[in-house]
Amino acid sequence: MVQPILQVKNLEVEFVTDDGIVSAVNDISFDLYPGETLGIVGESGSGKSVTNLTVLGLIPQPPGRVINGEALFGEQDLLKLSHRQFQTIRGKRIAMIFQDPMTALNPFLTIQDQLIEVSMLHLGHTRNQAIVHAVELLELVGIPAAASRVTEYPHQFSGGMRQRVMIAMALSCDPDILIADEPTTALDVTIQAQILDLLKTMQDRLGMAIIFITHDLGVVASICDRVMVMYGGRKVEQTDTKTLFASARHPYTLGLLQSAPRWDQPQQTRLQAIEGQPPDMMNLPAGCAFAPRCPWKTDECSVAVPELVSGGTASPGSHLFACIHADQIQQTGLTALEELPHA
Amino acid sequence: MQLLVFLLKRLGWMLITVWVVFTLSFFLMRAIPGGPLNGERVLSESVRAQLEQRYNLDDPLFVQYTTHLWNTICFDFGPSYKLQDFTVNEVLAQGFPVSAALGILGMTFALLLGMTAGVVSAVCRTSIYDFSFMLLATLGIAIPSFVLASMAIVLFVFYFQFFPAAGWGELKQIVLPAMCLGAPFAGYIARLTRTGMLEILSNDYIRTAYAKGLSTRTVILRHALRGSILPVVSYLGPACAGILTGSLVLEKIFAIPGMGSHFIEAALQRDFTLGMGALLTYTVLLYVMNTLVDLSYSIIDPRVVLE
Repeated sequence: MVQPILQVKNLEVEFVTDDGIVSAVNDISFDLYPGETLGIVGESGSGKSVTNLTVLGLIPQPPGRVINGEALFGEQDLLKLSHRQFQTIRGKRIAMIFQDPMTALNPFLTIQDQLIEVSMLHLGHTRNQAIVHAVELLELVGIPAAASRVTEYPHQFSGGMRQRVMIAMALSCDPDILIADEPTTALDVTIQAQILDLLKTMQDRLGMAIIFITHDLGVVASICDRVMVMYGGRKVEQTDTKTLFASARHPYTLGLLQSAPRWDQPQQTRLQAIEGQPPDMMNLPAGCAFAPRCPWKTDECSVAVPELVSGGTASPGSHLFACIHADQIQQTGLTALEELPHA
Repeated sequence: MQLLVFLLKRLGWMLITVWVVFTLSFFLMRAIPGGPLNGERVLSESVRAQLEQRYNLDDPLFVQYTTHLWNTICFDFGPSYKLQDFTVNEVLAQGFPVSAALGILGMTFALLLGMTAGVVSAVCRTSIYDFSFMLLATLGIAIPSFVLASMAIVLFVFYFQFFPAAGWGELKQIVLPAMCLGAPFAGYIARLTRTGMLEILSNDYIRTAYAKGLSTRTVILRHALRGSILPVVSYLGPACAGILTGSLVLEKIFAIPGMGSHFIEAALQRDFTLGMGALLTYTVLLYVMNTLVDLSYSIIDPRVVLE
């Protein structure tokens, strides 16, 4: 059995605001294995970004607060590291790329300045070595004329090119884990595909594990090995990508699948949106957070938060879901969802 | 090349500005009641006529204007009406370096103190440092310079006896007036730096910098400081004007032979030539400062294009 490279256990994060306490992440646990791609799916405010920012120690504290949990990276619990210890992990062993490449690069510094500081810090490069390294990386991520463009400023690059620069920056120390926080959301569709291809190529070449945060199920289908679905700060379903598309068991996952366009259905088919609004994170409903929007809802749903149960057929724990009506859903909910949308 | 065009354009505009300022002040000065020859002693008709002839005051206004303008173009501001045996050029050559030294020192002090306080306040916001620095900044802005100067004299001259009370020439004598002069500007700069820094720190690229594993120090100094001083830089233009006019009072209090007292005296005594000389010097200085501010903007922020 391969050891997980990152084990997040019972993570709970809340934010103290003027209006009250927002519990952003509730009891999240997941394992990340070397070389795999784990997708984290959920709508805005479901806690998927906060989970990962917490793992990297990047949530502002205050107002953020980690109440419980651990994030084991090898032997170390990331949540207990000091600032100084964290600096040897961030950027070197765990790197991150962000949603909006337009704002994630510093407009006042050249691409070169922003790239070389990583390898000078973590790999002990001299300035000249770091520049050579930076140009190599830019070539690797497919920036044409990298040697001359490296001294340009971010505003002279297009959105897709900037995301490539971000990827080059994140990969410059050959990290064990790459956290990609919606890296394609701000890009147009053709560029999205290019960036996904690039990430896959880089993973094949460098062998890092990727945590891919997204709300786009098409992206999940094309890049992720396993998927974790989050709702209201909790994990509601987790399984491998194929199972998710073939036999999702949580009503929220089903709702997501039904609201995504599919190439194998006639164009006239209406997309089915999930009714209602995302939950107010300041006072989550009692019981299942999804219950107010759920077509399978019964009175029992509001009694207690449903436990994550294992319904895996292949091995125990391979398919987790948190819904008391999962058996009923398995029989009735899948009629329209037999095939993967991106086969 | 782009720079050269920019500077030439600015030079052209400066000449026009100086001419407009000259014309306006020339006529304004002559529009107010009284003239350089009014005084406590009533002059006899013949003396008055002779004096008017000597200073060209008997010419028609338009002739006076053209001669004065021509002389000014030749950098000759003429004799001072009140400071006998001195030309305006001599008075300016004496007073300007003094005022400039005082202003530069005051501004340096304001920048060092203000920016440090601003950065610390922003980084440790809502801490005791933040509160005390911002309280000091508000006090610095609120207390008029003559009150501050009087308090400083009581404290540092009479009580601690660190500095001499007044005079000019030694470094010891310049410290106190420069600090009093810089204090309100330090306050403004501290507030501006704090606001600018807070805004920059909320940017995504600061999170990126932390995600790279950089230390807080590096993030602040390399990634955040540059953007956060932009508001300060744009404030420097008007601040220089403020520090010049603000120095008038302090030069009086500390008996400093700068330009400020001459400027006030010239206005009060209708010393047309000296007033004009001082005014035009200030105009040029302000214009140059504003041009430098625009230039540094394009150096700090690569997205700014000079035009």
